[in-house]
Amino acid sequence: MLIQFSRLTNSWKILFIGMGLLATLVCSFIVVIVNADSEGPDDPKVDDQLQLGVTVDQDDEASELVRILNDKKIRKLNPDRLLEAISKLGTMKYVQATEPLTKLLDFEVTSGSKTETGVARTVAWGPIYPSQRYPAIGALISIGAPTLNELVKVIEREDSGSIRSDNAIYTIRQISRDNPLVGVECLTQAKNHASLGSTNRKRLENAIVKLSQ
Amino acid sequence: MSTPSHSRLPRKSFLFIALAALIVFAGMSRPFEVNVEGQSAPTACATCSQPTQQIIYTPLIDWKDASFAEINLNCRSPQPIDVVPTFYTDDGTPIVGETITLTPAEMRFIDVQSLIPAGHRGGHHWGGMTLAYTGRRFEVWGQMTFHGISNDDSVNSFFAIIDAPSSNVRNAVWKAAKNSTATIAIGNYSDTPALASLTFSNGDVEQLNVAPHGTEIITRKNNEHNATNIDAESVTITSYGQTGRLIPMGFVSSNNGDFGSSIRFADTENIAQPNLYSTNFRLKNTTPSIVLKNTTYNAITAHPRFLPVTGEGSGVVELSAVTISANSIKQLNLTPLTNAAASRQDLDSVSVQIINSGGNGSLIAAANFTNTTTGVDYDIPLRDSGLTRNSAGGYPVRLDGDYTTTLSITNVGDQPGTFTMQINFAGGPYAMYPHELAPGATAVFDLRKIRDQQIPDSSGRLLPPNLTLGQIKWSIIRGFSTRLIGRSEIISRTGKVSSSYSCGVSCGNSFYSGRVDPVIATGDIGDTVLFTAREIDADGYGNFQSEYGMAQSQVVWYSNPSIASISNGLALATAAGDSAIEADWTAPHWSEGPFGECHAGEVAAVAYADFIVRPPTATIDSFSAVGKGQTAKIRVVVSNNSNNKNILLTLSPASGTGTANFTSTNSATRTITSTTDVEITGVTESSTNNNMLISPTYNGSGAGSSRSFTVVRVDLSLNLSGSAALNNAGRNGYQAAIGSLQLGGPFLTAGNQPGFLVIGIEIVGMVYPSNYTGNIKIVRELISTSDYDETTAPPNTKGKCAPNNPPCDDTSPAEIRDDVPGTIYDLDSPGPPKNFTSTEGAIIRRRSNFRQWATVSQLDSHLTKDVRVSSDITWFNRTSIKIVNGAGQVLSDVSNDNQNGSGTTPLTRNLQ
Repeated sequence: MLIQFSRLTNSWKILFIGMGLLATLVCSFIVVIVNADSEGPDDPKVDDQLQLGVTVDQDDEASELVRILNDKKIRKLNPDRLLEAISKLGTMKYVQATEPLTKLLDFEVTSGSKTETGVARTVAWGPIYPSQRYPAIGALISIGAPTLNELVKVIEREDSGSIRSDNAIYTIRQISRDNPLVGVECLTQAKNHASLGSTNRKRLENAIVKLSQ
Repeated sequence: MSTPSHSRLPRKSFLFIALAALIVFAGMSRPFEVNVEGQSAPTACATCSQPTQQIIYTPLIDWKDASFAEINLNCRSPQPIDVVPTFYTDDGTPIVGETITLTPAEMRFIDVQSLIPAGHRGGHHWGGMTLAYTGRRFEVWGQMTFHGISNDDSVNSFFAIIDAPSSNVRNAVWKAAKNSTATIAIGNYSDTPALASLTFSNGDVEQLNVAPHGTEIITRKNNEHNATNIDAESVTITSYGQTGRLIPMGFVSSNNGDFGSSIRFADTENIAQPNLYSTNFRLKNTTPSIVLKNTTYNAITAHPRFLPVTGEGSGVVELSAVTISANSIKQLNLTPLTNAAASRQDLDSVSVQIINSGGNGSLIAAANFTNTTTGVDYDIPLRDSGLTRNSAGGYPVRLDGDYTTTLSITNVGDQPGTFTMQINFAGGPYAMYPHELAPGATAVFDLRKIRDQQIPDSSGRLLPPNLTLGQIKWSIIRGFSTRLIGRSEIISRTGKVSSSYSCGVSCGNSFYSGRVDPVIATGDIGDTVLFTAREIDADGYGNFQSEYGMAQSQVVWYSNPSIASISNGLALATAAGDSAIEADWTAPHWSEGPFGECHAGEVAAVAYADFIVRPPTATIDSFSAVGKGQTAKIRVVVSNNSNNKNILLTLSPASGTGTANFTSTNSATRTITSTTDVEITGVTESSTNNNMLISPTYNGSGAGSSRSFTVVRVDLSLNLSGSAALNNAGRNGYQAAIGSLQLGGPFLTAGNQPGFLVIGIEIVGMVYPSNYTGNIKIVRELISTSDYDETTAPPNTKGKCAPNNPPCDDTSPAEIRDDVPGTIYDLDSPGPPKNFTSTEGAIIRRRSNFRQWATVSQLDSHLTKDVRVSSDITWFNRTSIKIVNGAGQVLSDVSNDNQNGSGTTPLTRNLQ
């Protein structure tokens, strides 16, 4: 059974932190494998369903939601529907939605009338959080650690300071909020693989600086 | 023959048997792919005799008064066969023609002259001809038709098998109309001269010396020398040469052209039984005639019976028995019959039985009728039922021009008999259902009508609308103690042709293979499936015949009674499992003896099928949790339960403790029969994650996979002051936004979102069991709110529900929630907007009530929803500010204002 880091119990997180291991974890190891049988009932008749993320029964529904994410017409003509799909995929923790969600990191819920790229929202009674303005952030945070690699790619691909890049950095920060070193380590590894002097490397260096602040 | 089902097979042997049945069927299907001329050839014929040299002979192929002689060639062979024709002059000189290659089921009607080598046509006085081939008896057959005899009538001449068991005596009787002329040709198929003595019924005697392979012809006026008082004549021909090699044919025609008929000779020393039979003797618009001849020296009694197509019963017309003295002729008085037929449609066509008190061969007959409308004369074979092989036949079909072909088959025995019939043609065949004939009954098939009206056969096939030639094949398949006779009648009004074909075949059809249809059936408990046993036969030459279904009454069925019962092929599924279905029946089996004799019998046929009975199955949607005291609707998809059997659903802990009930029954069990969204109520929380089961069973056995889930308890509480909890993962997002971990307030934010006056609150959810791992979170709803602008309204003060009114969702963003159990958190910091454009000094107030609860994201009624797993916790926010220097400042003019609190708040301005 696969479980996401963010799904681990608090005691596990603390244990990880205490061991000082997270700083050395690479992004690809953030998804850890544990033995489901240690927690599930010992009954061979029971379907060994995933207790995390989307079950097989939900897959069709999630696939349809991803299709909405990829439909550029819907973004323009029916942003409310897109907003709903983003929110639901986050709730479902549908890992396969990560890549299309990162492409929507600049999809904005605006405070005024509808815009070309976003949807109007009502004014909050209190601070407005980034995930309220850019709903893909919230979905990616909900999905958690499995999105980190894709978020790093966004940072490599987008100009430093762009909305997408900044939102990707913010999302990494929130996902690795229990130990920011995890996010930094992911960016550092990517930077180390990038060519010296390349634009990608520079962007990653900038992101590391921002994330470390 | 159906019996109550009972087990015949060990269950475990079934799969092997079913597989074997499939293999047998797959293997046997191959020959059907090489369908040639409408019938198919197996690679070997187990019941057929070995091919030998075969010669058939007819004594006359040309007659000066005929416009032309036409020969019908009828091939019954499963493969192309070479036929060598040899034509003989009347003095016996042989002229060998070109080899004719006949294809399987080929039917030809051609001018005999066209077969004679070109240099010899028309240049001789012709005698007879032979057709020689290597094969089996009757594998190639022929029949001559002389056209244009006396006022355009036609008569037929028949071939004989050389070396077939026969005697040196032939008898014939014929209707001899006034001024008619009888022509008798006697051919000698031997290498030595042969003497023939002809004794006519009026006492005339003539003797002929027939040259080797030559033909002698006698032409005589009716009762030429010693006139009698009866319009009929007979002859007995005795030969003194090689046995069976003097072969006669003859015909009679009136000088005024109003009558013509073939003369049919009988080998009265090789007759199977004494009675005479005929089929399709027509009485409507005809003048019928039957003449009987006693061939013996003792008086005999003949009892004429005429049966409608329905056979024995009250409709039978019986004439008075007639006594026929030795060697004499008697013309039947058919007036009572024709009088009855005048008022009875069922007598339009009858079968004829002449019950004879004498011995075998003691009685011969000539049966004729003339159509009073068309003038066409018909001569009908009225003879003994023949050898066993006569219960099968292979006749031509001719439908070109105005030709019609009518097949009639009559059961002349006293027991029911069943036959199959098919028509072979290029692109065929066309096969009728097996047809059972009661004693005396007749089946009639008008093939032109079947073609023109496009009447489908047993498999829905049609005769091509342009079909002109074909081949009828029929054979008895059941009831071998009876005897069937048949003939096809080919008629052309314009050509004044009436030809009767009743040539036999080597032997009847034998069982080749059987199967049960369907070979595999699947059903639910309570379902019924009708199985049919089907059979493929091969004829005496090895041609596969069209497959046919067995009547259920002929089949004994067996099944595994613990899974299915079966009666008359109808299987009823009673329990889940695989049941072998066995069909036993008796099938025809013919064998050919060394002298060409046929032996008809039966073999035991058996075939198998598989009846798979599916158990009712419940497929339960996966789900994670049901909250204690809460409900979840889980879809259970029921399949394989078309008969609404009860499926029992049970809720139970697989380990540890925990309790859940079905809401509808308030118990841990409920039954369903079809797809249902079952509502489950959590009663006591699980002691460990995922320890509860919902299990489907049918009759005590599993009816699908169980699903595991957790009964979750979430205890919600509020932190109204202090700081966000250390293990609250949302605290970082909270702090990043407002620059503080502070709860309570009001205080001014200083983080990424500085300058808001907010009051912080933390909502805590303790999740049980602590190792629960589902997609859980705390959600929030704004229940009610009131805004007060005591000067000019700031923008958007309707708040989060605008443009709608509360209640509305107010769930926190992901970065200030912690959704990971065992303890889950939510944070909020309500406060007024900071960018006021309102009038300096304006007073803004808000009173809001919230409620929060925990949800699990999972399938609910088969749709992903946030399903409640906790009860509500409510809290409120009261805020009042005054705009000072363009920014909000806390206004404390109302007691207990500017705070968050547990429970609800009045929505009034003054909180009273």
